[in-house]
Amino acid sequence: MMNSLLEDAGLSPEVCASLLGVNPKNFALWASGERELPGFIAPELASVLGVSKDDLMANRAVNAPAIWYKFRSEQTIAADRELVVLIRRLGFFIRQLNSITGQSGNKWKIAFSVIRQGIEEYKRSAPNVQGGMAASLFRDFVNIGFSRDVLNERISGPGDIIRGVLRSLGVLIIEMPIPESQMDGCSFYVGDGGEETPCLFINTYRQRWFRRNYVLAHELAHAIFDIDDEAALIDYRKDSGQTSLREARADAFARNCFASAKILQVEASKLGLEWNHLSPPDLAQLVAHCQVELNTILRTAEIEKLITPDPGLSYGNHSLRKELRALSERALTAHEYFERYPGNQQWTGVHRETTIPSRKLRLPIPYITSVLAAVNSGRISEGRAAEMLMMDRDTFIDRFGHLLEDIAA
Amino acid sequence: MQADGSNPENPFRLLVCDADALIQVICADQIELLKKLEKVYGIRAIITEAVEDEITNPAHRRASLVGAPFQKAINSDVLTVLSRRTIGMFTTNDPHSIYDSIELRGQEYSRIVQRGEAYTHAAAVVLRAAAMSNDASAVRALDRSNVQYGAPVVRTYPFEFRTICAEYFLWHVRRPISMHLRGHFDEGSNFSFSDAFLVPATPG
Repeated sequence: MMNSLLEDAGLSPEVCASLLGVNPKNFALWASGERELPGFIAPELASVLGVSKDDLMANRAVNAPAIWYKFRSEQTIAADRELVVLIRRLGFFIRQLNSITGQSGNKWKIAFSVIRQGIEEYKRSAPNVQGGMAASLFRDFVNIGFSRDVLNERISGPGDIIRGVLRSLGVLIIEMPIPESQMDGCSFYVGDGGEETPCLFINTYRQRWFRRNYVLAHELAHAIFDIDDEAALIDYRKDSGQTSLREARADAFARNCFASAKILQVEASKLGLEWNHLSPPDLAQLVAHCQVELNTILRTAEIEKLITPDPGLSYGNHSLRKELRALSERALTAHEYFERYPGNQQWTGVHRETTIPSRKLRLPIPYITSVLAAVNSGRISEGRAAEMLMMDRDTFIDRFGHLLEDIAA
Repeated sequence: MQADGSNPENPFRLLVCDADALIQVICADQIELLKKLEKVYGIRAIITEAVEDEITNPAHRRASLVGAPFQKAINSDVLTVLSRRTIGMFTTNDPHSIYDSIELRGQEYSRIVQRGEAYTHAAAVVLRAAAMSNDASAVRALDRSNVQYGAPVVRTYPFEFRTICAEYFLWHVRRPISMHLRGHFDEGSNFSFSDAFLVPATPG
């Protein structure tokens, strides 16, 4: 019965109906089995819940998949589960879009497999060794070099490069603020039937870009190593204080993705810095180049004995806000950024939000542009595009109408 | 039933209505036209479950605009929602197979066009019926994907023309459907979507 499945998943039928864009009254009848679940919603609902379409349509009793139990822990709230529903719905649309445009969304499998195999011989090593090795393999795989002039290329740098590469591999990245959530980030699969795609979520509420990069890499490590066994990995803002192998490995992976000993040595050498005599502008330069927050850099520097613990403590007290804003656009607030680049207004967070009344999802820019490209090439209709962007059609036209080509002829 | 899942010859004359076009008719207070269409020409207006859900969904502004007259049209049997329960009223073939064919085709189309449009065209193709839709973008996308869609596709008119269009609408709806049923509707008919019709030059 769908009702008990929803109950196990911690989802209310009303909210679920709203998130799926269907009439709550009809949804209640389908959920209770009073009316047969129609085909127009069954595949999407099955994909979102992670059960088979046939089971849903036959109203067979099925257990809620493990992911829903993960999102019913004490620290998670309804908003987190609703977010998962929307992200998994997005995953369903992405799969459909890929099938229409002939794109493969499975390249991540090769990359993840290369990294897993690469650390096979280190399986008995300490988690920080495993994480460090995996990060090194990942950087080699995605070919992030050290020689890029990060500060002079507006949208390049490790954070941008990693996002670009992950998206090209088919990994779904969602970054948006959920103020009421305790989550820092999480990773889980979207999609179904052997066509699953890892999703990395980062809660950007009061998080700077430099911190978000760390969370992104941390969740990536979980996606590579852990979600096959765990269904979902959730990291909370308040550290539980317990460090498991998984968390230690993910931590080392994230740190070494952006600030490994080698990276720090190369960057410091390029910038002509002396590790035990770093001024606030020097530290800001390191943060801006590595694109990760200062305490991550200092942790590596201390572990690798580039600095002695004493300067490490005093460095950590510096506020680099002023220096960073002068060096990196990534230190600007969204308001400041769009004031500087008014031409990019259409990609502000608000413009990328779905118009579902009960909960909004901030869609990734590459996904929106792929949907618009599919409309412009005549592969999908405008109505379908609005549906795929989870927006009502008027809003879709208001926001993106000027980007649609007139293909009526 | 044919290999493509459609009815070979459906003796029922049907007009499968999509949400936006039907809303135009309801907002213009012209639901009488659908009654007349059946009474005078024997053409029955039907909608799919996807369209019914779309029109009645309170999250959409349209639900508050057309909810009551829409429900009245359903209750008074002017409009019928196509479901596994009602499909037998509109086909002489095995109703379950026909319904499954619509579902299958609808799911395929809904990758390309919006749910309501997808199931409207799927039902129109399987039931060999006309479709009433204002979404030219959907027809183009289906056409580009080389899939069949409703033939013919009938379009409704903006509200301001309602007084002069009532009879015109009936004539225009009846004529292509009748021609199509008689096998006279060919590519040479040269109708265009902007003139209210689309040439049913569908592949397959």
